[in-house]
Amino acid sequence: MAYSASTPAGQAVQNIINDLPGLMAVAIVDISSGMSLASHSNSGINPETAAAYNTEVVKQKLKAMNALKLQGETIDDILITLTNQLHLIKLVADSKKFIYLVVNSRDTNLAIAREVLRAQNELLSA
Amino acid sequence: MGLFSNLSFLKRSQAGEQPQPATLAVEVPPAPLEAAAEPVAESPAPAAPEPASNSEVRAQAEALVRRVVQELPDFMTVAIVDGASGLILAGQWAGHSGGAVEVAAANAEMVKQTRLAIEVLQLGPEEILEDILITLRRQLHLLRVLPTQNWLLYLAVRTQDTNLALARAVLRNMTL
Repeated sequence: MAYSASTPAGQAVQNIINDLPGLMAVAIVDISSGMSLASHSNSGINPETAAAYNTEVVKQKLKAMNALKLQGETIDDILITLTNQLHLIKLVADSKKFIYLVVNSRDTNLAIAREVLRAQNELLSA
Repeated sequence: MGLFSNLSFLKRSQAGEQPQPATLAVEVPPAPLEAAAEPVAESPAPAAPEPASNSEVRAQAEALVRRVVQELPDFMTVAIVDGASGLILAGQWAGHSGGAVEVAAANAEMVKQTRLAIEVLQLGPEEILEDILITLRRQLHLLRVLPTQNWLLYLAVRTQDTNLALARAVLRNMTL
């Protein structure tokens, strides 16, 4: 258990685990440092490593958005579809953190995964 | 709406900048198309004609773009990006198109980063990257990997016009 439930990030991880007991990995990541504030894994995936690499994915997309000069648009989430897995990166309201979630696509569909992450938005942006 | 390949600065990109790593292209600050086209007038155009295979590849890419446009007439941007270099091979956009080259390069870099993450996480050989979806407040950006050519099919649509399942279904059918 790589989190303390007394922090908002730890509480969010705990809530996500409660909602999706079959998840493969979850982490709350600080975008500026690429380090995770809280994480948990039920699989061989190291969520700390994933956090570091996915931070770069998020930064590249922010760069692309910047190039497009989109007005009034923000990234809601980034979904990476693999053969049997869904990797979901949900940016939290202040765009300083993201929730990284890995689920097996046989157990959880995108709509459920999104809903669970959306519910943590308020807790983490506080 | 116009074909990317008709723009002179893109021809320069393909002929002159191809050897550059995509990371360099990403560093270029976002600039309007007019500014990006300026250096073409000053630097001498490459004398050698394009090799036949190159134009063939572009014709293939353009045909693919046309097929996507046919299926999703409400698109904002459809583009084929070379996954290795981050250069646009073909594309169409509706309306505003500023920064298209930078977006293509950044998207290619994003796919590279994702692949790297998959590799580092050792998810196993059976887990292959299929697509990346970016949900914005009013837009969907979908990047689909075409494995045979290491091309990226990039699609941007408004959520009010097209839903995710539809956009995905169309892109899934797009192979050469």
